Amino acid sequence: MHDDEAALIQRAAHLNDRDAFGALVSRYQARVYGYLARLSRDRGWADDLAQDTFLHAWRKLGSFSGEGSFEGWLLKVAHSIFLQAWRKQKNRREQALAPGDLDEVVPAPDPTTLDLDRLLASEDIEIRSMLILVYGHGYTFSEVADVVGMPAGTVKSHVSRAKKRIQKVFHLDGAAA
Amino acid sequence: MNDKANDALDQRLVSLFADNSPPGPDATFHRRFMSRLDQDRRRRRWIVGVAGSLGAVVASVNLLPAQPVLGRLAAFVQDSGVSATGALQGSGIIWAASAAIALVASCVLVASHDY
Repeated sequence: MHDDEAALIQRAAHLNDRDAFGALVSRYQARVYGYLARLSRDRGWADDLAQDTFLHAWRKLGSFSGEGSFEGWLLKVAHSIFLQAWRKQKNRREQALAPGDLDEVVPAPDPTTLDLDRLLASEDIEIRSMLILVYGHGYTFSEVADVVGMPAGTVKSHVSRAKKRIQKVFHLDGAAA
Repeated sequence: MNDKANDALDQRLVSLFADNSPPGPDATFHRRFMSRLDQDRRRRRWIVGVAGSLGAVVASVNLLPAQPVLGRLAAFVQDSGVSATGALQGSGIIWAASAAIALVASCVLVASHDY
């Protein structure tokens, strides 16, 4: 963590400095929004969730220990906020995004084309989250484990199984080892 | 990605994500958030203020009978020949007045503090 970032967190957490927190929001809003936009596959919803994430982060900033990255902590908050909202709206939103209904939701003329939207839609929420963090954010399995609240070994095996499914669904024979 | 297998599919997935970066939040995101943050701070300040004031009222009502000044007042009331009802009414007024003072004082203190 950079010194200036640590100073901003310190000022925001201990002095309730809104401007310091505002600077942190500026720095991370694209990453948090991007994570939520990919996870939810709905930009409007992602905007609401990102706002909720930063508000929750402001209230709970004192619980950030300084171990690990601030971005990882924010994404953990975002993940938790998303799961709560997703469970509430599961019937309304996720029914349309269930893997079996995928072709009706996202028309794809060429089923063998590796399309990110189709790929993410074909995985359930937890796996989708892991794939986004590993391949979209460049996180290690242990960093992903911190965000999603699972052991690193479990994350690794979930990602490995997801890769096999992707390979099969998108006919990527020989692409993976 | 130290502990992630670095095979061909991994590379393909990394490229896929990189080529399909989601657009950032709209230009008003930060302003809307700061406005919401300020609203939240005001609301929490009032919640803390009301809770603090109620606490102060309860504390003052409970602690006041133990104050020596009330003992002296009770003795004065007794000596003056005022009825028990009158004494109770008098002490009730004092309690209410002190609670009101505590309420106002705690409101001022809490409102002036930045939560």
